[in-house]
Amino acid sequence: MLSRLLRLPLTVVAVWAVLAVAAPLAMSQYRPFVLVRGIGTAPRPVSPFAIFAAPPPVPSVAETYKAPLADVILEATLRSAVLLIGVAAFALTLGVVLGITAALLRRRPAGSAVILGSTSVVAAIPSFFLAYFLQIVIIFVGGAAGHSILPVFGFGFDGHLVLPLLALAAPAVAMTAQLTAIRMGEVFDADFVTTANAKGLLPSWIVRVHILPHVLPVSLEAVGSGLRVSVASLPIVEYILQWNGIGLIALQSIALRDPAAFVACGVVLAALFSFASLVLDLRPRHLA
Amino acid sequence: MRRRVDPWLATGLAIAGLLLFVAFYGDRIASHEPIFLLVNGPPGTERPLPPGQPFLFGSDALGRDLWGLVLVGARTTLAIVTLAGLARVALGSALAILGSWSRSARLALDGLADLVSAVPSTVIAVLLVLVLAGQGAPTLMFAGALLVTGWAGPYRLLRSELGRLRVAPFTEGARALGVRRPDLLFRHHLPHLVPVLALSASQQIAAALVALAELGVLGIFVGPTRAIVLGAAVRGATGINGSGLISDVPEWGGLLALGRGIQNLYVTRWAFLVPGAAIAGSAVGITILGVGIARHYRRGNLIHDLGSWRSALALALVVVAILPSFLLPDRHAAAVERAAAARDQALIGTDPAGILAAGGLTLQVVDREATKLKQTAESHLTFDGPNGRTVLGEGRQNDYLPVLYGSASGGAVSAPVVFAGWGMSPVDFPPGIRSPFAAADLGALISTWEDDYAKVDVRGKVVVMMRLPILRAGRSAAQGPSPEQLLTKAIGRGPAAVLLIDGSFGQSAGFGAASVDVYARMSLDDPITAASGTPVFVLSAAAGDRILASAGLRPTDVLRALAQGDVSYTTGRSLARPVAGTATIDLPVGAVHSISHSTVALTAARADTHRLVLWAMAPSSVDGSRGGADALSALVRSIDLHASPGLAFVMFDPRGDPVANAAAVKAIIGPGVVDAVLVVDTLAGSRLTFQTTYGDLILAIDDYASRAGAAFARTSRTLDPDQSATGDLMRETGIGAFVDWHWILIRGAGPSVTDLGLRDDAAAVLGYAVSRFLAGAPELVGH
Repeated sequence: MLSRLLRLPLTVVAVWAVLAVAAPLAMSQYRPFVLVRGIGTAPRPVSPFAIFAAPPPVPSVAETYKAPLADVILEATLRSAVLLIGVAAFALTLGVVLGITAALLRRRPAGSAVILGSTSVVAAIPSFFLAYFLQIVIIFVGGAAGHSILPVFGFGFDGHLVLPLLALAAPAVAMTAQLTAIRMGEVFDADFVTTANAKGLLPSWIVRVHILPHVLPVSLEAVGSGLRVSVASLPIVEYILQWNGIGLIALQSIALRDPAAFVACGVVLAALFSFASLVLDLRPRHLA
Repeated sequence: MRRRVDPWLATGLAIAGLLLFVAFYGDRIASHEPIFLLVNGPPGTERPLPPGQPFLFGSDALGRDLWGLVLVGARTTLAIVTLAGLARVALGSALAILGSWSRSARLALDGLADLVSAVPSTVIAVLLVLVLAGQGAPTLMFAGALLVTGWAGPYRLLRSELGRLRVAPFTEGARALGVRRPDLLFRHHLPHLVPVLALSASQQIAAALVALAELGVLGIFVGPTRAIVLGAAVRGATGINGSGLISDVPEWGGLLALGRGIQNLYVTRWAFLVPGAAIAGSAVGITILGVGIARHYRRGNLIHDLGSWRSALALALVVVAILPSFLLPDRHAAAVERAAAARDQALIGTDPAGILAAGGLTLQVVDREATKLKQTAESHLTFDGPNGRTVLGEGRQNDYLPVLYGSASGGAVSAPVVFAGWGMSPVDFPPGIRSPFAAADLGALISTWEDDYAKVDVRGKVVVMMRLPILRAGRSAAQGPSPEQLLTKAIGRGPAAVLLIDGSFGQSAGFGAASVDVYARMSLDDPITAASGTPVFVLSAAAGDRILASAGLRPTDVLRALAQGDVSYTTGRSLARPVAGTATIDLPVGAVHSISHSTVALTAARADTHRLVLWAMAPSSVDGSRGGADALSALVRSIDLHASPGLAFVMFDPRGDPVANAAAVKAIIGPGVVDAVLVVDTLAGSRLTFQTTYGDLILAIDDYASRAGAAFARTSRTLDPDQSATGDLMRETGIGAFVDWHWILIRGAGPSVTDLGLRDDAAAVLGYAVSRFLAGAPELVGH
């Protein structure tokens, strides 16, 4: 257990050491560029040739945000952490419920297949496309309704949260639902469940008392895996949806050739990733 | 009992088959080639063109068929991501096997895997692609960038599976029987690893595809790019985008890069959605295939299946399906043949006019005589000051350039030097009418300034002054006087010569070059009229430092301070002062008489009046060679002139006044729609280069050269018509006379390899272009 707990700080320190050496070397190999705010607020160049001209001197990340680097990183970490907590909550609730539903529907293959098939497809859709697709759907629905339903990009602890949360949570929810359903199917076939059924126990009682304790640890593990996928998608989803979190700052620091900011972002992302792995590792094994 | 086919496997195989078909036949089934840019569509259509007509899925920002681009890009995209994905699995598997054989290796690899997978792979891939960009072989570079972090996933998966198999009873049994490690791995463990390997490979290929797409979304390209600007090509309605960086490697990520922008969310969604959907669909399909294979081989044995007649049949079917893509003739086989025919006719020292006349065409001759004042030799500028003699050099990258415009002249001068500050006098620039809506008025801002000319007497002296680019006063700012105003006011005061220090002279950035072009334009718009009088030079700030050192002023410091917003040099107090020293100037200007002799021959007009002009510079504007004429001769010999309507052959003599000569030739070609002018200049060198201000032709000409088998340098950017170098080029070649025609300048570059130079290559390109024109190729006649 101690070695698993130690893994987080060790990984973070190792990432810091590698990036601190490699990032400045790597960044000296290319010219800085302006990371155009993708599907967001791209300003049009005045002259068509302006986009090919040498870029103007680029500021550091701290100068861009007009705040000390530590503050920028701290705030960005908070913004990304909120998203990831939301993802975990979504996966634990919606994912588990979907998984249990699919497992309970196992006698009706069509219903089960719809849930498992759709979750497999959702898990395979690239997050950048999902984010963009959600933006378009919201704009379409807003257009049909005659008024804006949700902000389609930008930061804010309000309606702005919805799209990044959905785009990041979709694969985590899908993975949790799938693993939960598979594990639950296995437990349903276990002898002790057959025995419980033979004894005439209520199905709800069997599920709650005999099955769920065997399923939930696997669900927790799936949430951990899902969170790792979400951390991996953070940069691109934050970029497309213009959520100024740690992933977007990491990409900006590459464009602006700011090694200090890049190392800081790398360390934070590694910490988030390792934390997700820790969740995966620290599941109560005795229950499984 | 007949085994039911797993629906996952069936779906996956169907999607994989579709992807394979598109990869091998995409370029043939695309209804429009990616070299066709519809820049001037029917009225009411603007780029990007919406889905419908003429493009089913709309166009990209440059007017190219999006669906065609997706089809053509499939091969490269799928090849790149398959290579990258399989490389990840191969490396991960190799390391996992190593880890399963050695405990110390396992410990080290586990730690390393934890480390490399801790930071999102997108971030690392972006950084590595940027670092490796320009290292050549974009496919390998991309695969390498993804490999650095990507091996960890397959490694973990494989190692845990190998760990499970290592303790399985059948393994122990095999060991007890003395089976060696490699045999154990390949004969006993590999069949069990198939599901994991299939799943892992599909996951990694899909991950590589997503990584490629994410790079595109971020505007980072795999491999070199081209800068396409359509400004010159579009008439009237320009559409939303007039320019774009496009990927040279035809891959889907580059389409996403071009499809970004706020309008792609609200208006032109298809520009992002079509390539995005192709990527997402392929990623899902590849994943389904992986899951299908994994499910199928959960209980089956791959090794057993590989030896069965079914797999042999499947392999044969795949080969039969793919083989025609290699055997079918080129899409434009006729054009390739014509290019080869033209190439075979290339000779040295030919006369295209004679061949055209022998072919039955009427020759029309343009003879022009011209006398122009020109600089006849290199100029000289020396300064003898208290610190000795300073010799300055002529040239754009050097100290100064002569300005040969109307009020100036040539001549030899030796006179004392005075410094006239900014050359400003309130008398010269009276305040304009005050308006709260107008920008700040220069006259009003300097109305209280000291007169620079009141402090020094410039008559008969060499006047040095600085150009004031911008004048800031409080919150308002005004543009400084134009160089023409400044110089004309100075010359009017009777100096022996004028040296104007321009801060943007000699800067390597585009801004400096564009600023120097002001002087080239002055010379063009208002040419010099006197061989002797007041020579005028424009100087770099550094050259100004050397002349004014003894006067205690460094123009470099002054102009830098001004650029940084420092107003201490523009307070109104004159900077003018005498300078100890004498300047000696020699600017030889004389009348140059020239005769030019151009020949034009036209084949029969087409019903739609479209024409393709084949324009050979004879002699070349660069080195006086006649390689262009030889290439034209080769082309003429290889085609049937009477069966080739709409062609115009020009043997163009640029001597004297190239632009006026070209205007006379243009008048002979007459009205009608000129689709393109292929201007062939010097053909000395080892590869052809193509230059044009028409972005819509860049892709086509490179494609033509490639298919015609010519040695050529990739055209990476559209020439900026506002750049001085482009202006010079268009003046020297006469292209300035037909800027409204889509022109391409073909020149040789690099060291010559053969005596023939590039005559055969140029002839092949011309032959290919003529064939495509006669076939009504949309990239030539459709814009």
